[in-house]
Amino acid sequence: MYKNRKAIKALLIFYIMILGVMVIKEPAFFSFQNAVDILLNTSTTAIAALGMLCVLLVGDIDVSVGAILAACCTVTGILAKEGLPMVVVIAGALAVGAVLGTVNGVVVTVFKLDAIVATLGLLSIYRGLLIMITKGSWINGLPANILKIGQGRWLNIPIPVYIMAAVAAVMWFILNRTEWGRNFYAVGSNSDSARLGGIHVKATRITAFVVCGVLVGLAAVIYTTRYGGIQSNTGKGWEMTLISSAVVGGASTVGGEGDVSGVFLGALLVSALGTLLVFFGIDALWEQAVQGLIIFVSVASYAVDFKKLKQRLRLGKGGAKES
Amino acid sequence: MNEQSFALRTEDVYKSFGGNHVLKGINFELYEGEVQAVLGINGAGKSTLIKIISGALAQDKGEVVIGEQAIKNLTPQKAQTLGIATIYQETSLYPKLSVLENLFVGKRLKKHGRLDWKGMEEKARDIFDRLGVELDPYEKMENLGKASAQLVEIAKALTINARILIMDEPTSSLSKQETERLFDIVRKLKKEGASIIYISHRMEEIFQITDRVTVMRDGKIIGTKKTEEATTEWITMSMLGKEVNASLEKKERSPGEVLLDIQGLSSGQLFHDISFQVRRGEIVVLSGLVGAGRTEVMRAVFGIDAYDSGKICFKGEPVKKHTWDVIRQGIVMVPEDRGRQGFIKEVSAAENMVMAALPEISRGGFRNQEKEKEYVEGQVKGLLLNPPTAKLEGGSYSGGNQQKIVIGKWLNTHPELLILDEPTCGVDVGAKMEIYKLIIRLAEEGKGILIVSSDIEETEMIADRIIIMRQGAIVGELSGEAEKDAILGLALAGIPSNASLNSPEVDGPSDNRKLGEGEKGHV
Repeated sequence: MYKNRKAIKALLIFYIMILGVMVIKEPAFFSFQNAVDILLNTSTTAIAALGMLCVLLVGDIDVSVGAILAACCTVTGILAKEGLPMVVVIAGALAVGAVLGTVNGVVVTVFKLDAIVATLGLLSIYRGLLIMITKGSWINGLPANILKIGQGRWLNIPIPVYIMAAVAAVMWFILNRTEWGRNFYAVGSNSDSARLGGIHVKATRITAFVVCGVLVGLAAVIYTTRYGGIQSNTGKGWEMTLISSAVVGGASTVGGEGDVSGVFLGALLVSALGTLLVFFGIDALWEQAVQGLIIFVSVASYAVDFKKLKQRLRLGKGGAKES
Repeated sequence: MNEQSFALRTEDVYKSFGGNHVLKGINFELYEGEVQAVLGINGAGKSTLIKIISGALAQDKGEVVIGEQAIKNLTPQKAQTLGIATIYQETSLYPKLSVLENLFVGKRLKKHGRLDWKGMEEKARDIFDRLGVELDPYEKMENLGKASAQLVEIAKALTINARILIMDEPTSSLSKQETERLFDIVRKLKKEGASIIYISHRMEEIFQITDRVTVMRDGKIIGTKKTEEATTEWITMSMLGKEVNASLEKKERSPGEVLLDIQGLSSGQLFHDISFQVRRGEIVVLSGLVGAGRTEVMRAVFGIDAYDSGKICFKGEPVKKHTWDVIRQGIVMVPEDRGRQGFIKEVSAAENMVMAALPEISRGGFRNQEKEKEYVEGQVKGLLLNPPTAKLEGGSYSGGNQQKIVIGKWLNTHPELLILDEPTCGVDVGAKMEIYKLIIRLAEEGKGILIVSSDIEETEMIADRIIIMRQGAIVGELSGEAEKDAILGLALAGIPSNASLNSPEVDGPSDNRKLGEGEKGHV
């Protein structure tokens, strides 16, 4: 609850700069339709990135999110094709996400494995199992009623945008107004004193993984119903997208820092990157490289302590003493 | 005070860490509504006892009784709900969170099922008012200085209605006014019926604020007295024990050629114009308060940190810039923080001991096992390592023997000058004497010894020459026969001893055996 908006400020300035250029270059870009499209494209990333935020907050990381997405998509597809009601389909996807999140959390905390190594291993295991189950085939031909989740609109705004807004509001509430949400910050900031302060550190870390899994499950429902079909390598490399969204939005990879608004802005930037490049006439092949560059620049700019740097430069130059 | 009921008792509490017995049957009693001092030198077991009472550590044997109830499996959480608040000496704060949040982690206020930030802010401001401090509740913790952090730590303990308050060196970074204010609060809490365990090395504070004094040594409680009946003599005697005063055999040594010659060394705001010499066969102790800049000087000599100006010569040649060259020149340093900078717990003692000498022992990049064995066995004998084998994993040796292993590691590089930073930090009394004997033997063998020590007893016992630093500058030099008071006078005030410092019953800093602020390194 401190008022540090360094990352958000930087991002907002960046956005204003981009928008400024656009206003001059292509005022036609500013249409309701374009804005809605960008938000729609952001929705899955933003929802899942908020889950990633929780894991980052407690000081862990989950690189298996792409595989969890694929698993949840598959479950969504299978359940939907069975003709089950929409509620059951969604519940099924969220449940699978929760289970896989729990597995991640338990492996990392109970077996005391390094989060990045453990989830990297689990990523392969999940993917392997998935290929065995689906035999590598595509799932498509979903019933029309379920596709409404991803493709339907209300008041001319796509349903996923509503879902994203709801998730953001709920996550904001959890992270700012509930005890267990604040515990994420405490654990990530100083897990030793969190333990001494009476917080169940392991349970908190597992919870973060579960929240991440559930949100990835929700993103999977949108993903599946939006495209109407999925293949077994869905979500490959997606962990990069989520981690970059969170990190660009000011989340710290060592824990304790980050918030909902920052991550939302981060997700917006990362998912709109392709569109932006096209707009500026840069070949879309550059997208990944530029994404990496943005991560690097943003993280570096938040990480560098300019005050200290200045002081050190001054000391190094003249060796001036103020005693 | 006979009919008072106990706020807290421990019954026969034992605790050991990997063969190192830290608590040996502690029967500690805290009355309701009293302030009790717990005193002891480093490694006496104070911190461990407190950690057990506050639930941070579990005892091996024995019971903690709170009120009338024997509490099993005490956790920090349970301790908090039972009204035990602990002000840890090493601040246990959350650097990335706000001050406000730091105060309430684990005990946040809620309203209608959600967190009541407004309520917390009000309560925080109340507490700040009570403490008489001005802090922005929304400031990020890592932006605060050490004194402010300490105040937050104290405020944190006040957010719960503590029945038992444990204060571990609460004033170590407070100013005089802040300390006074803290004492007012302590008195107020006492009036409200709270019991307080007060740990401090500052004798004057003990006499000012406590009702009873308990002295611990070597994992045992030596005695408990009413503060008005306790004398500084009794306290220091109990703290040190008789065996420490056993004198060391010192052969007459005549210092030889100058090994280390430092002239006008300065570095930023850390230290300035430092000049002194260390001769062959001489033990020089660099004394002073923690934070006087002594370690920083050593680090500059050893090539760890750069310095701005001045000259460091070794045997007439300038000391090289990089640590690996400095070692090759014949200077080694045993760091204070053994666990992080000098010792590897996960590998065997033998492995630890050859580590620094590998370039010398190895041939063409391949390790020479026979030669290594020879080196290690020589050290095991010479250091009187206990148990007398180097095959065990590092962590299974006691603190004192770990320190010997680190010294052995450096001796294997055949140094001529040894720099030892707080060589007996976290080492028990018996092993201390062995380390002193070892240091003296090394000097007799003709090595130059430079020691950074905050331990006055230690300084008195082994030093040939004492150089005192204060606030980054040398304020005096004394011979090895100097009195405690003289050292203290210089270290504390920068002036030679005077009357006020000599009278123990007035202020008593002269009995402040440990100059340092903290009981670190242990546990």
